[in-house]
Amino acid sequence: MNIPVNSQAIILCVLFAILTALAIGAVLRPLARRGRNQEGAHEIAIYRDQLGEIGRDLERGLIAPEEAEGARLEVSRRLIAAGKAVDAGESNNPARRKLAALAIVIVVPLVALVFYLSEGSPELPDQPFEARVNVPVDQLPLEGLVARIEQQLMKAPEDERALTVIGPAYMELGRYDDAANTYRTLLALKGPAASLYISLGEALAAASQGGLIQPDARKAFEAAAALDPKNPRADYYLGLAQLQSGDREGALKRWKALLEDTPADAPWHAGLEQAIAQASAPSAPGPDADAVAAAQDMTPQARQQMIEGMVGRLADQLAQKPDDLDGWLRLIRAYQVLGQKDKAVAALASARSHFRNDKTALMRLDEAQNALN
Amino acid sequence: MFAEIGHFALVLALAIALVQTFVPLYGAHVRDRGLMAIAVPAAVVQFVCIAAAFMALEQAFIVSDFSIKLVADNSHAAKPLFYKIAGVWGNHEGSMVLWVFILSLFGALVALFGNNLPDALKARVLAVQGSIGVAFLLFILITSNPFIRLDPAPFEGSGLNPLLQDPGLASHPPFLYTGYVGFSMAFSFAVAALIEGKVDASWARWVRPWTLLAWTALTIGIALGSWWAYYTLGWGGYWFWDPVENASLLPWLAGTALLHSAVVLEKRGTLKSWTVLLAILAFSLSLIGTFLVRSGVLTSVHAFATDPRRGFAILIIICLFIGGALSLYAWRAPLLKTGALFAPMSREGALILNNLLLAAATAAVFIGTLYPLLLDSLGGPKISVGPPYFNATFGPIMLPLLFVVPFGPFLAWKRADAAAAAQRLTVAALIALAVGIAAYAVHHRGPWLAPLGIALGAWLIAGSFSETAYRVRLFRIPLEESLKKARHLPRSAWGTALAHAGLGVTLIGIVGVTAWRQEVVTAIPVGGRIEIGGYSLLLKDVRGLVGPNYQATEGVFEVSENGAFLTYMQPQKRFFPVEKQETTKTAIHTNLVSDLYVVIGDRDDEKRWSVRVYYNPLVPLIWIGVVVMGFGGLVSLLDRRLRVGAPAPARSRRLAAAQPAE
Repeated sequence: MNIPVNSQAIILCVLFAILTALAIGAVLRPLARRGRNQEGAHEIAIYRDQLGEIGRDLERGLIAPEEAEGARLEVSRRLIAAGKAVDAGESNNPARRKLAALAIVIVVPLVALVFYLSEGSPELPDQPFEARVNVPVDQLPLEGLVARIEQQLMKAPEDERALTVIGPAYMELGRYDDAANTYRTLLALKGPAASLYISLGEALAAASQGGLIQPDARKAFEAAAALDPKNPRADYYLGLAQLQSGDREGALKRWKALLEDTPADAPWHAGLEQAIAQASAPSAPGPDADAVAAAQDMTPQARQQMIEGMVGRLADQLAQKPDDLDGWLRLIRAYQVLGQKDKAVAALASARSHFRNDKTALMRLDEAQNALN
Repeated sequence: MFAEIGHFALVLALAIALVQTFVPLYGAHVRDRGLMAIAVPAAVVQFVCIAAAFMALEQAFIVSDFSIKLVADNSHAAKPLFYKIAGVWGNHEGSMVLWVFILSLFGALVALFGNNLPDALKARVLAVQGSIGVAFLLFILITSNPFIRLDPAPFEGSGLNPLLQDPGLASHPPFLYTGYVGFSMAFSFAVAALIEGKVDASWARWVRPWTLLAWTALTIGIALGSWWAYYTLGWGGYWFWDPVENASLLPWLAGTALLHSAVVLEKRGTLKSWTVLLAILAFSLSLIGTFLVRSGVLTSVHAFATDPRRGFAILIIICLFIGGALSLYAWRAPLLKTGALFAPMSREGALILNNLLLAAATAAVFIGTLYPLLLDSLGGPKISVGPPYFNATFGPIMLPLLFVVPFGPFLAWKRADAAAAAQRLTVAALIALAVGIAAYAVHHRGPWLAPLGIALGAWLIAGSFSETAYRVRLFRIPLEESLKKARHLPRSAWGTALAHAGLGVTLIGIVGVTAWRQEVVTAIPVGGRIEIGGYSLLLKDVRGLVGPNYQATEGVFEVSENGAFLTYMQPQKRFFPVEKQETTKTAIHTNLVSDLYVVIGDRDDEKRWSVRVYYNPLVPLIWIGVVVMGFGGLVSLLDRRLRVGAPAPARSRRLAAAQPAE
């Protein structure tokens, strides 16, 4: 938009003032009219019309004579009443009318102003979709680029070039599910390729909560490794999957072998070393792989205690930092698994009240609720 | 800029509605015609403001301005234009704007065309109407503001529920709301009359056109909704006794009763207090309908607002208006003078019977709809009240009502001769008998009640037109003269006949599809065949398709009847990627007497497609009947006496019989 932000606000202010003045002017018009009898006469005229109408209906045979007689009687009675009202004179107190006018002139702008200013955004311009998308590509933010490619894909859903571009863009925007679908489509179109499987696996891992490598992601990495056994990324992720499922030995073995094959100047060298170091000295908080592995050797009571302790910690965290939707969903599920349905319901309710203005969050909470029932 | 102008217009509408509520009411109290007259421009200005806000919202949806939160949450740039337009009311905020838009439209219509109203009554009516506007505008601005902006704006919206992306559903809210909101007019008239302490024949004449308009719109709205359910949900059903459907049926029943009791009030000056009560109830039930849909106390496909704050606000509005109106009624109704007396066997008596049965039916539906909710909210067990309850309660109440409908118009006011009325209905009875026997002969294997139901439908249709035939003295005078008389018959008489006959047509449809429907649920491979109701369906092909904002799987069925090719039917299963939802698109082949109805589902491991096929005999008659009913309403609405407000017969009031009214 070419209009600078402030000037739009000024234009709107003037416009609103004019609109309000017009509205008030229109409403006050009846007070400005003079000649009181005219208005009473109006009512009398109505009944005169109706009497004429009855006569015409009678002539055309639409109503029976005795019916017309009855109707005439009723209208005449009203006519007389209306006449009396005019004669009695209605009250026409100029002071009262002035007071009413004054109240209107004050109240209308006041109400309008208070309500508008509390939620209006006079400085924001309109942003129609066409105008936002039809700018040179280099001025388009990533979201806009994605929207534009999506439009293309709507017309030609199998456009490989567009799909190849949009996949990483989805990842960048955090739309992991869309990215995963894009890579699936590409795999179907182009046939199996290690790089596509890895991208798919990364998208699936990112989409899962807490970056866990779940079976579908693992399958994708395994497919990549089968196509390209030397692929370092596939190796790294498969190791991570092993670590997450409690197989620390296997993970370390795989990573160490990978490190040996990795040239020292490779960009991921340092990261891999760090991962190995972390996996060797574990004491990360929360339900990490070690704790889960340890839990397998515990007595059922001790295990229950440990799990409840972890859930309790999560609940405390959420009480302090309630913005973590995934955390809430984890908590609800945990209560559900522990068989504490009332607590799950309570957690759901507090999550709901916290995210009451966030429609997508509410939708996910709805899903959680459905799972609960 | 348009968005902000729309926002301001909505706010300005609230300010003007406040003026419209208080100033004319005060003016009517002190009998100052100047202050009373303010109601007229206020109603018009309020309408113009809300219309501007509505247009701004429409514009934002059409150009996909995602800087408005409502648009971003409920629309998508790739959506077809029609659903962008309809998308405005496909969500809570927008539908509330549509609601107040129609409310203010009615107000403006009364202001502009209510020239035949006495000044004080008009001022009070518009003031009450204004107060409803104030309540709903406050509700919108405080809890559901549609003009909240987003900065920075997202590039794409999150789409519209695909179930709502359908011509039937997209177009039915405006009708439904015109119906719901239209009863606000009757309500405003009732409250104004209570304030004035005066209800007479002309009051009924002023109320009737508005009620008729609301009733007609609601009739069409309900029909569209049930038609949508029929062809979208994919189960071949047309009415599920879903709470939301019941919510629209309740004001319809009350409104139907109101239409009839208003006739008694208009012609005989009696049933005053009952008519006023019905006017209040009809709108109260509309409000409860809104409440049921919008508060989220109900879990239903249609409920799109699940915000407890909104539910609470609506609850307050409902308590305020219903409670206020009923208190006013309790206080002022005794002032309404009892009118003329009449015998039990008379037109009045018949209309009272009609009212009693309709009220009982309303109560049955009301209890069946609200009791489970109440029980649930009080911590009781979750129970679900389904079709068996309604069939057991609503049916037995409606059947006697349907049976006596044709008698009504034959009965004279004050005191009638039942034997004479029955005699005039002989022909209709014979026709009904013949139709019943014919139905039994054709379908003697079905339930034994079915031919009786068909006969009842035929009785309604034949009986409704018997009255017309009697009045134009068909076959007793030369045809030419009969036609001339028919032309001069009041439109309201034609409207009555049409509406009653439409009821019969609908009844036949309901009985037919309930008793004789056939259903095949199976899985067939491409090349497989299904036989049903004399049709043979061959699955020729299943193919993929791409729509404007969905991907579809389409089955192609070659339909033949008695070995001869009839048509192709192409049911689809659609996937909407933006919303990540699937919908079914049924294929329906209709010959206006019966429907063939095909739904395609998923493919199983053996490459067979699950397919559901229904043969629904007489089902189109359900909607044809409702359209006839709606048309009857329109014809009645065009009756000139309603427009002019000139009274129809109001005969002298001599004591006629022992039965006092009310």
